[in-house]
Amino acid sequence: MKDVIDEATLDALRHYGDDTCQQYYRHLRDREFKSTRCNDCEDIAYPPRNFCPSCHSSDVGWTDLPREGTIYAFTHNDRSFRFMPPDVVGLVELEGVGKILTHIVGDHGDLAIGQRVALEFHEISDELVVHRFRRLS
Amino acid sequence: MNHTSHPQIRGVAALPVRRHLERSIRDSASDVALSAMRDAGLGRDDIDGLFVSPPGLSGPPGFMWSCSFAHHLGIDTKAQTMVECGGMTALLALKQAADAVALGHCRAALVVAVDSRVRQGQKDFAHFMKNTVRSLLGLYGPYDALYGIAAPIPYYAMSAQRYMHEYDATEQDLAQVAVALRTFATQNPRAQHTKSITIDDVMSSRVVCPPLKLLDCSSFSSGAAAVVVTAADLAPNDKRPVAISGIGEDHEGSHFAALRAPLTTFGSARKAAERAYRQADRSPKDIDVAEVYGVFSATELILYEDLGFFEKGQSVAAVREGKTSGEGRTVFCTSGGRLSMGHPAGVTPLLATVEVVEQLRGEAQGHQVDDANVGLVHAEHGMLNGSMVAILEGA
Repeated sequence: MKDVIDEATLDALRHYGDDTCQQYYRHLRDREFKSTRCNDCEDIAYPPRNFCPSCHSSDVGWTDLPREGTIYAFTHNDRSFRFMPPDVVGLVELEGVGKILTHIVGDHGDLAIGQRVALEFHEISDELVVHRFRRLS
Repeated sequence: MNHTSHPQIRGVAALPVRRHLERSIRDSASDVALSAMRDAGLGRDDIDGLFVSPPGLSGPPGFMWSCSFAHHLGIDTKAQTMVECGGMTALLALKQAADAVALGHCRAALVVAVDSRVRQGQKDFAHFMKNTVRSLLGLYGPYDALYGIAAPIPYYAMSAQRYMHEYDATEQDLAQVAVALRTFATQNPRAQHTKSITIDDVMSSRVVCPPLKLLDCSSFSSGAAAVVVTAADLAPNDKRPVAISGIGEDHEGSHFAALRAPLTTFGSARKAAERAYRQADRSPKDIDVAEVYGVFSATELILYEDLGFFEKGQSVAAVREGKTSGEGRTVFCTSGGRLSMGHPAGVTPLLATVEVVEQLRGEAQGHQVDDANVGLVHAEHGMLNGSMVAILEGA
């Protein structure tokens, strides 16, 4: 069933994802964690766009996102079909960016709001890599 | 207050909220449509507008449903459309109807919503998963969906966790909300969940997404409702007309978890409420009954505050002291709310409207609030990324 889900995900990404989205996932496959930054107003967008959602300038480029952040909120996703339990889904606050939805490695009971976490690359399949975060010891 | 110019609600109807529709989508829709017309004292030739939500909001898209349903009813209209904007859909259909009446495009508009949220059987599981992955990625977007988001619950659970963290609320406080709503539902024959519950029942129910347990959540339900909106100068019938005196709407340009906005207060609800109060020349202290779109216990608390009824962080004490369920100025969710009336999302805002209209008419059997004259209905989409508020007044 994992193969079916992975293939359906890639197919849906092609259908619903734009060109910038495809590039974002190529970056992750290359173990780069990037989004787009506006060269006019300097705002960092997440998710990435080929224009700036804050000022609508088309002068944007890729920038590295912070690889450490702070847990803003988290829960356990009981309906997960993507990760084996424990599947903690969380919002991690990245300085200068905002809070992004991600997977947090570990047991729900060991985590707390405000803990520092660091980026990991998680390989769903050869073709698909996503970000996830792990508590800094 | 002068309601001579505001569009009025003259007829309402709703089926009981249940897990499944007892009949087909089309039969359910025509049943409530014809009942609402009878309630309004209007016949086939009087209706000249039709505004519908998709037949099964999260199900098939229902291409050309307003057309095929108008044909089914045999009505000719001067204004007609199908509206879709997530959970706000049915209230937006009501707004389209009120706007069309106010602009003179039609004089008596029928608003109909039907939703069947229980999934079909899965003969071919691989095929089912493929479609599910695709539709979830379309709904939650090509970033969040990769984390296995299959329902909005994780987002709302994180909102609940932050609310508890920032305002020192406890899981028992959230459970108290579910109990208060259930108490009303026991008196409402239209509600889906009518068995009395205690805080212990909520606390010991299955943890769905911590801190939310099963009884902190609304259920996926099915239902149908219809409302007739008319010009104020249409000949009166024997029912108390209810004026739509103010509508406010706000959309934040975000979808589910916003990148920078907090999860413990929702700007869209605050702004939509301010706009509706201003248009109606009302304030929260004027509201006798309110139906809010709280699909989880913590969300209910946050909304009481954002709609202007309590200061931030004060809802918990208000619920504990019974101030939301009869001891305070405004009575909240006499229907049982989303948690206990049941939540057929495509219909929910019309069910809330029907409840408020019946309260203002004095027809809410078994759970009538004394001297109810001014009511509020709130609806939203995403995780409160957009909100809409309507003020209804007995004319």
